[in-house]
Amino acid sequence: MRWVNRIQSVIANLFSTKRAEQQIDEELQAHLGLLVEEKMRQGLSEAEAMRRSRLELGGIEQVKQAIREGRHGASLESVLQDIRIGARVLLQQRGFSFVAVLTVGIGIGSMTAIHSFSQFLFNQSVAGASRSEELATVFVNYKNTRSTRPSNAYPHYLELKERQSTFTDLAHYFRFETVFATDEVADQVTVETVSGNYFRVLGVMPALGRVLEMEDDREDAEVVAVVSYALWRRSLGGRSDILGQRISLNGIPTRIVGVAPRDFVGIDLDNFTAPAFWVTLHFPFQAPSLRSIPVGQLLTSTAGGASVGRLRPGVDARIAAANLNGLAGNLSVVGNRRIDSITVIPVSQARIAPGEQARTGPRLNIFFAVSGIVLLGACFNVANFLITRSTARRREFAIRLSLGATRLRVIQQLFIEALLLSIVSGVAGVLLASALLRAFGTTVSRFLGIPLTMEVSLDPTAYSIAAILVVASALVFGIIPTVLASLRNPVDDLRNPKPTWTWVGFRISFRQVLLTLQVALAVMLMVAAGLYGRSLYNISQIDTGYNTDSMLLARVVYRSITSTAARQAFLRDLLDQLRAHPEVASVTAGPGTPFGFVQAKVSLPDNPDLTIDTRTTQAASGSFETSGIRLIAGREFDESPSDKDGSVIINKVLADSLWPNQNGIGRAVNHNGVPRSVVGIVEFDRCFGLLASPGPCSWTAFVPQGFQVNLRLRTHGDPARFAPELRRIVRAIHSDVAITDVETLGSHVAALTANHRTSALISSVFAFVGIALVAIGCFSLFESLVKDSAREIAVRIAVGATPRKVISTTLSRGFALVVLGTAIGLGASAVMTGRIADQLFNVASTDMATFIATAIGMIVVGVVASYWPARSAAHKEPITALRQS
Amino acid sequence: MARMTSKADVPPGTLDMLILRTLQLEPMHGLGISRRIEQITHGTFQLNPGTFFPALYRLEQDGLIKSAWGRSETNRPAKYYRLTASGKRRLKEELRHWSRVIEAINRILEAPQEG
Repeated sequence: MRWVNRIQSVIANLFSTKRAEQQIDEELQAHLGLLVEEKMRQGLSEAEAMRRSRLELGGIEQVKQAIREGRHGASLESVLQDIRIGARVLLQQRGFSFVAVLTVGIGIGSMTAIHSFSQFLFNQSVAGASRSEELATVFVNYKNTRSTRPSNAYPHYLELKERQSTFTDLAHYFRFETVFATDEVADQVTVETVSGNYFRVLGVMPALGRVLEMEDDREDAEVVAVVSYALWRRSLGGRSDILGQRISLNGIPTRIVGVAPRDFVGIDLDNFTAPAFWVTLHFPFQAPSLRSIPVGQLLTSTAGGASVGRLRPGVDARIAAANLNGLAGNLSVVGNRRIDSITVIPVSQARIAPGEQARTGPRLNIFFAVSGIVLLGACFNVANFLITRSTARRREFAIRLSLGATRLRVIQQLFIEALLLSIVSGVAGVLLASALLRAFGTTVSRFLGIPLTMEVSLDPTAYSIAAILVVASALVFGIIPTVLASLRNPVDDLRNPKPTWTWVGFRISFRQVLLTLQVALAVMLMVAAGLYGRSLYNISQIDTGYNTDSMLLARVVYRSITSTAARQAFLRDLLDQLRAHPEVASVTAGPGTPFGFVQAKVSLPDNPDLTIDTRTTQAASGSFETSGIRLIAGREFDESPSDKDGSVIINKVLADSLWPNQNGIGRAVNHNGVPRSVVGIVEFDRCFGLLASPGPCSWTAFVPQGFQVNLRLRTHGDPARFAPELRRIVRAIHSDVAITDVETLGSHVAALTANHRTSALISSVFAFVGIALVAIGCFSLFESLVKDSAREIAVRIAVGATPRKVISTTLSRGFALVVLGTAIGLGASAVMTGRIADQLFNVASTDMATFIATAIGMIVVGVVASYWPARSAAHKEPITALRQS
Repeated sequence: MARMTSKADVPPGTLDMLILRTLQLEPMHGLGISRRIEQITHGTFQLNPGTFFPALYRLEQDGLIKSAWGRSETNRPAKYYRLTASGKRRLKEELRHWSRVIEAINRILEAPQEG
């Protein structure tokens, strides 16, 4: 039973260290006593006997250390001991620990958050579904079609579902926007129409009631819907008696039969919008007025959706794709769509449209890399601190080495301290990451104008990423100082020289190298922030072409009004009521948003060779006045039929290129093949997009069509405060009409530039952290430099150097490092910023002003951070400094 | 078992066996054990305290020997070690193992050389 003895002794050693120490001590003392007695019996004097006995024993402390390390559980015990010591050291140096945990935590936290976010976008299992790793999306790729998200024709889905052999079952779904209304609310929502087996294939269980079944998906079945958890809580009061109640969906009475589970947001994550309702594929989704188009046209023709299936056991996406492609040749031709190939992708990778992935992926990668740079900088900083500290503790280590501790033991202690520090930072980082994501889901997305209606939470793999980062950071800032400390000869350290490397005649310490690198990293971050900042400034200075003061935008969705005449009557009624409202200065309606234009070709009847590519939209009477667009010549549209059929308004850019230096009013043009005469020329030129360069624009008179119309109102007061009144007026006229996208022109413009603001915001935060890191790094390095050369400074002051001279000499050393780091950083930036060139607006990626400002800024930071240590050294009494050293 | 290497002339891996063998005769204190080994080997084996004491503590932790405080012949306090039952078993094993090793090595050394 030797192992029992061992375990006993491990426990005894761990918990009764003191007693064990005492026993060792007593035994060695007794041993020494016996030795002395033996020597005295041989006739030596007591003093000589003592001396020889000590020599023979060879150092009581070293023997003790050898016994300690030979004991069972010694390594575990030493680890525990080091953890205790480490925690004590970190608590003693609270300021250092706080800064280290904060900076390393920010690095780990932001990397973890970004990792989580990209996991959410690109590699997420379907929450709410069972075993979603077995699910795969089937894309039918048609010849001669191009779209970011392929869509499968329903007849092809039916044939594939029938003939395939690799899925247990295939389901079909697609999304559309419609109006949902109850007695209290009306809103535009996303609805997913799904095949009857959809919920069964995904394995989604209802939170309340039931899910949709095959029997619901028939033309003669009652129209029923499953409501999303979020909408149920938000708009239906979260009441359980919602089951069986009817709401109006698309103007059609629909009975609610169930509530989807909380996390379930469907499969597609495009645009971050989650469906509010699930209905079956036989939902009469066309407006009743369009009954002339056969109901269910979608089911028989080319309109598309996506298919999702559960793979049979042992089948992977590749095998399934091979099976389906084998069938592709025999599928019937639907409309003019010919199948090119069929792709099967694990559902986790198909939740974002490939086009979207291509845009978002690189941007996230850049942020991930930048966070990595910040983390590296933070680690360098901590390493710097630890080196400074280990310099101060060098005597301590030297004493321990002299007393018989092995180098490994000292390294272990230093490394455990570093690990403790990085673990605490990692915990802080994970907390920060989850806070960041929560903030992103609410405040930040609102600030940035990103329509995020889903919650992003910390991914399970985020913890392992954080753990890896913790170990990596501990290695960076633990190993460097540790190895430096352990490579040294204890005797040298007791004599106290400084650790330096000699390189081409310069004395460079390792932490000076670290500081230089850190300055370089911070410079890169500052350059990025500067470029994004300038780009954002340029955007804020854009003349939008509109008068952005007190303009309110809104979209009216009247799908549920059955006839065209009734819709026109509704619109007339609405505009009349708004015009009469005391708060409203003017109002106009049109088909598009302020920067929503479509392509149009404009040519001259007498010169068919000159065709100009313009962007066009429709404008109602008074539209330009309400928008604040200046009329240069001619007039706005009136409501006359001749304007609708034969007039066009163009901008100055187009007029100048058609008839340079001539009056264009009254002249004839071909506008998309329709002959029209120019009745007005306006100044507006942003029709190619807010951030695109000015170009030729054209307008035709507004003819209400389709199911929605955009309003522009100029109000007397704050436009945002008119929004509730607008909703009230719309509801008073017709309760099944939704009013959506109510926003001021200012926030509309902000939403269009959200990406730029995100980049500017994130890069400024990183740059700020980078600057803080450099400031701390400079401060600590210079303080220790000054400490190291305190004697030299004191001597110089004592022999008559002025404090001013001392300060400048000390500063010049730090200054050289900062300048070197800045130069390296600027060089690296010049190489790297090309990668973000396409995200910048009117700023070259090698913008000279940004680079110069960054250089000046960094040098100022360096000088300020090094000024205080130098000053305090210069004002020290020389005699005090000499005594202390 | 990992062992501290030292300048002692005791062949590696045999120190435990030597200590157990010495204690087979009678309980002894640390200095007694090391002096006995030196005497019997006519000073060939000089025990380094930095190796010897850790070995003693390890053997005790393994339950092969037991210690108790007592008095030396000159009435000084001393810690006496004695062999336990499992220590005796272990010594037998070690001796058997050792004689096999010695026999094997001797065969190699006494084998006729080629050429």
